[in-house]
Amino acid sequence: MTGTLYLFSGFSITWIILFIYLFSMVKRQKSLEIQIEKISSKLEKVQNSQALP
Amino acid sequence: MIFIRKLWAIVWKDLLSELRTKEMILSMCLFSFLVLIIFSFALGTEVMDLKTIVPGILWVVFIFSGLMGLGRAFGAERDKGTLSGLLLCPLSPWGIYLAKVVGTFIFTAIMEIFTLSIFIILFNLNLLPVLLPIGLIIFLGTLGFSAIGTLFSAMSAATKSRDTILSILVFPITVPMLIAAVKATETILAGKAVAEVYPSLKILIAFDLIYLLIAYLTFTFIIEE
Amino acid sequence: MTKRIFEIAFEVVTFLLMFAAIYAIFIYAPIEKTMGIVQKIFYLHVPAAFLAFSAFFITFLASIVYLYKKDQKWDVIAYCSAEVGVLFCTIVLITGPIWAKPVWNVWWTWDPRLTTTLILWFIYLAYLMLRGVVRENQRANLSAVFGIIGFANVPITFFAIRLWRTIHPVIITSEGINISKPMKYTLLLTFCAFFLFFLSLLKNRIKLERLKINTENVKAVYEEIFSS
Repeated sequence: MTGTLYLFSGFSITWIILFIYLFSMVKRQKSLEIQIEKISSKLEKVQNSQALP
Repeated sequence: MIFIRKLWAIVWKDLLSELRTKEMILSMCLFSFLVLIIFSFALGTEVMDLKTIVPGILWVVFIFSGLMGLGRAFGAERDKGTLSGLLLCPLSPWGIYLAKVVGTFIFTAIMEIFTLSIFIILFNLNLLPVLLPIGLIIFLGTLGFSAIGTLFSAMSAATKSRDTILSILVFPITVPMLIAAVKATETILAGKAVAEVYPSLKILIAFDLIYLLIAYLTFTFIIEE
Repeated sequence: MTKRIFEIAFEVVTFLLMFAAIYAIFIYAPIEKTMGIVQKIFYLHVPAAFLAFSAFFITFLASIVYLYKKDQKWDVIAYCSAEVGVLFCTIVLITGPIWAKPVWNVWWTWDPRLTTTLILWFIYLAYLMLRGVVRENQRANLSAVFGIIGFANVPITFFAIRLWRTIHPVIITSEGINISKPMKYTLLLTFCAFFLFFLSLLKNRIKLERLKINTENVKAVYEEIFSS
């Protein structure tokens, strides 16, 4: 019976680690997207202000 | 021949600047003395089998104290802004590296001789009959340690947190050297035949050669900006 | 367009294989006689170990190519591979003791393979840390050199530990698993599934890193233009 417990913990820890890693990758990608968004919105603003006069 | 003379010029420069202050060598020796004292306190007076733990203590002290000197090899050059001057020397990067290895080796060796004499007194060891093989083991171990230590010293000089990263880089890589050196010292202290040390010596020699070769191939990349 | 379809197909196949592997591990593969059910960790542990070593080997090769060609592409590959390798190595180092405890009754033994894996883990963690603190203009060079040194350390550590081990009592002589045919097929299947998973992880990590570099470049250009 203890064997099952060890087996279960082995598999669950593995999957938890993998999911944490995937999650961290998603988070990094999100922050990059936010940065790109910021830059493009700033660029747009500049473009608009230059177009006015 | 000219190569050796140029190399010696750099080594001599480092020795002279160290002789002026004696800052590093004194702190290394004092540190190793203190670590030895700490070990004696931690182990107590009645240790069962001294001969089995002595080699381990000895090499731990060597590596910890040696690490203090490593950071200086390139760290000091970078602090004083003399690194670019050093690189202008009419000597290949490999030559500069070798000069630094020799310098580190000399400083570490002085510290080790000091440590060993304190060690003999504190732990009541008689090393005289086995001085030659022990000396050879320490020579090979220190050479390997200086070889990778100098390489990593040049690396860590380019980082923000110098000393921390230096120890993190050095410790895992020194593991084979440490194991072989401790095993060899243990065999010698146990009074076994010198032939039994050969496997450990082979690993020490392989370690030295591999890292000197890698340094020969890659040192240019480390110092180029 | 066809590239995109190929990518999606690749990911679907990985996903399906992963499910098939889980089915095979828990239902198809028989329970090993001497070790019992816990032996099934084997199907996780062995592929992960193989992939960790391959990842570090990729780092080693990419580092050499980087120093030769000086193309940032190779530095990115070396970095991402080292990160994925540390991930798999962590899995190996965690599942190992969980498997060892019920079978050998110890969590850890200083066996050459185990110890070499542990040292390798430390080395590549140091590699990742080095990248974090080194000055940017020297990052690629220094980490490439360390990537080479780290892998060169593997064989010599292995031999040194084998030498050192001889003075200690031998707890395990050999693993002594009789692998039956269904077990072999299960292992093969998990190997394939994990390998594809590893590839897609590495591919996506490299993509992410490239995106990061591009964003930083755009940002630098942008700031340069608008600061003046």
